[in-house]
Amino acid sequence: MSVRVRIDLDSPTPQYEQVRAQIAALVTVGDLDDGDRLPTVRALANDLGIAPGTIARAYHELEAAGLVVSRRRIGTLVTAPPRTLVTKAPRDAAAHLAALARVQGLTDQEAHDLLAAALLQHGRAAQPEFAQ
Amino acid sequence: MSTVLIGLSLLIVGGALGLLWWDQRRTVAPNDAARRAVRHAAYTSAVAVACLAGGLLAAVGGQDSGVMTGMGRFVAVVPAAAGALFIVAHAIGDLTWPGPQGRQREAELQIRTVSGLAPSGLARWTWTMGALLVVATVVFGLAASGPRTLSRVLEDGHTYTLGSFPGWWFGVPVLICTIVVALACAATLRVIAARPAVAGTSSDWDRWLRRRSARRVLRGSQLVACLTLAGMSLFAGTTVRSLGLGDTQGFYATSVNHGYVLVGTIINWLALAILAAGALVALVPVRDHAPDPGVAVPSTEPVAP
Repeated sequence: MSVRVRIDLDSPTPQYEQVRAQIAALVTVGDLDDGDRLPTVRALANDLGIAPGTIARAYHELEAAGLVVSRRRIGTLVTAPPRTLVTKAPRDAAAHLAALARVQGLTDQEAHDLLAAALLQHGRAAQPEFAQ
Repeated sequence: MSTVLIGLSLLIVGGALGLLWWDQRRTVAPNDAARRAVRHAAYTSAVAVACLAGGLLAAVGGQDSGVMTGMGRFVAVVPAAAGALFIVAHAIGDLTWPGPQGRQREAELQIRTVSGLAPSGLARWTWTMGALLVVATVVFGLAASGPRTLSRVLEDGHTYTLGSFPGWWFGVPVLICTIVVALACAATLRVIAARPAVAGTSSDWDRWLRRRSARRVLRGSQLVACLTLAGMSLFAGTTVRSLGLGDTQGFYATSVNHGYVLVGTIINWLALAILAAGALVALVPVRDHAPDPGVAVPSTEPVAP
């Protein structure tokens, strides 16, 4: 497994959110499989040069979203959700949005803003369902 | 005698430090961060080797000059104490390992375990030597007739007792120090596994540098285990042999027991073999060159806003 996470210390997005979002994306896209072990909090914090509490919070958020599970003596394991037909259409649409953003030369921030705006237009009531 | 010994020891230490400097110079580092990391590793090892050699030399010098006469227990734990200093120096070096710099940083999501890091053969050898030391200390302690004496029963029912023998008087501090060194070694290997990855290098190159640090810690640890084990065994073997040879000239004349003489001689030879093996494992270079630094680090993964 050779997947990386990157953080930008100048980004307005909190560091824990940057880490969480990237790991969540890697799980969703399938680069991290069910059962894969994540590095320890201390090791990843050392590699990124940030506080261990930041990584711990990112892992905690991922665990709350059901994407990872922490087990004593084993570590943090990926619990990738099964790829069902229910999630296929949104994933395809997201991939289409990403491809279109690249073609149009949008930055990642602009693409994210577009998605956030679309979610806002469809109301906040749907958000808890996405989180599960 | 002491001048020759100290001169020889200084020559060995100088050679080891020179080897470290040469090794640091010849290492191909892919970027500035890697060069800084290699330099940091070399300084750490130089300080650690100086601690180890300094401790051992002080003990040899003290023993030779008579300062440590009657301080047998202290002499017995000197290798372990010097080894603990060596490991602590490595631990400090790895705890102060240069972290990533810059406003944009990246890390690989990979598990680094001690077992995947330390050379397996060397790790097995080191733990075996540690276990052998514990077993030998316990056996000597159980075989001793007193805290630091050994006895044999003569034909007439009397006992012939000789000292000094590494009984519990020496065994308890040696056991404690061995456990401390083993725990410190295991903890330092974990620190090496968790220290920051070198920025801008491939995971193979980073793993190679960690493996090198782990190898140095294990080499030093096995050396002190072998030194202590050899010292204790030589000490025991000499006493067992003397006990077997008896005291044919004295007032209470005792007969020769060839069984004791044989066992004592075997223990002495085993001690010398362990000493030679420990020195070989510690000093003989290993062919483990740095991976090709030309390997580019992938940077196409998603980045959060």
